[in-house]
Amino acid sequence: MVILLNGSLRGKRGNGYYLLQRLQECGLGECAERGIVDVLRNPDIFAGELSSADALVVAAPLYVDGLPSQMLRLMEELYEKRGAVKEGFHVYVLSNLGFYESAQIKNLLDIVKNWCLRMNFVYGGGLAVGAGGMMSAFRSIPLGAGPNKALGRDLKKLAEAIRNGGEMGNIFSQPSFLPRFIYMHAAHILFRRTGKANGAKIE
Amino acid sequence: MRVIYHDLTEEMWVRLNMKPEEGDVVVSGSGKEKFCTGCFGCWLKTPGKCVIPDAFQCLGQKLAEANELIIISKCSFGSYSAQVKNMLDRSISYVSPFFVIRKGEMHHRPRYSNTLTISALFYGKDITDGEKETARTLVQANALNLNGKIGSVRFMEEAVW
Repeated sequence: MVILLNGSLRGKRGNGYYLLQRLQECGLGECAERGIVDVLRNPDIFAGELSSADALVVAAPLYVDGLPSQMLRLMEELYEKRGAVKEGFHVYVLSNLGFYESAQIKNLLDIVKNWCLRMNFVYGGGLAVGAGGMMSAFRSIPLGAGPNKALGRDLKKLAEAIRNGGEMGNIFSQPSFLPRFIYMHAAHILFRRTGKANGAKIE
Repeated sequence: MRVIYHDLTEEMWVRLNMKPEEGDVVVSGSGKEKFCTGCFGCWLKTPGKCVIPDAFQCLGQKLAEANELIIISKCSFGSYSAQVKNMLDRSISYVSPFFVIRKGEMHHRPRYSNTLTISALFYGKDITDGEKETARTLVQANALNLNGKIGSVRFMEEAVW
């Protein structure tokens, strides 16, 4: 069984949840979905679930160049409670960020990899997704098409690695057909509009 | 003025012989502060101030008055500890939501005119070489992202911890 952990406090509204749903559609076999808020309420139950699972997929956004603190809190707790693990238990990461360049997620992936070494887990690799701010606008576009072309291809690679219990390394995915300057411009328009609607002067 | 983020107990603070200068702001938190939810409220609703009303609400404004940020943290897998990382997560109002290209990468525009020199002291019993490398890269990334300068990145592994 594969445990899909949504590490975002935005729950089902966040990109992490969206990406996990799309990943499941690529075919993972038996999965169990968990959210960070519930898991932090009782990490002992989650630790028990991990001990009998085959793999964990962590979906977490990049916060200030690393993992969000709620995910670090969970990883620290699990490290304190570490016990026997199923041989070959793999951990995969699915992360996105608001900046354009997915390469900026490498720190986050390395932190999870370091954690895996301490936990005696196998780090199976990570899929880093850039330009996360546009993901909600592209949700109606099928994976593998238009701006989601690369994302669809890379999610399939991740799903294949999970199905096979393999290691794929890290993949740094960028939106297709979306230049950086257009992404920046669109984000700035959105910020100004939202600020105006909130009655706030954005600077 | 310096801002010091740390997760030391009182005993550890004494052992480290930290002597804050007059005007320094020392932030440790209780460990019960809320996590950043990624709501963008500090950028798009109350610019410069977090919308969560607790001890970490105004960290961005504190950083705006400083010229140095000193981070003292347990090394958690090459990252800051959850407690210290929460201080940084809750500090993003220090920068503007708007983007700029810096050193070929997208980052946030500065909101304030000050420049922070960021230094970090990581402690722990058995920090691996890989974790040290990750931690160094993390502090460098923070300095770039916050439009600051990198100070020192040090590790303490004495049994005292």
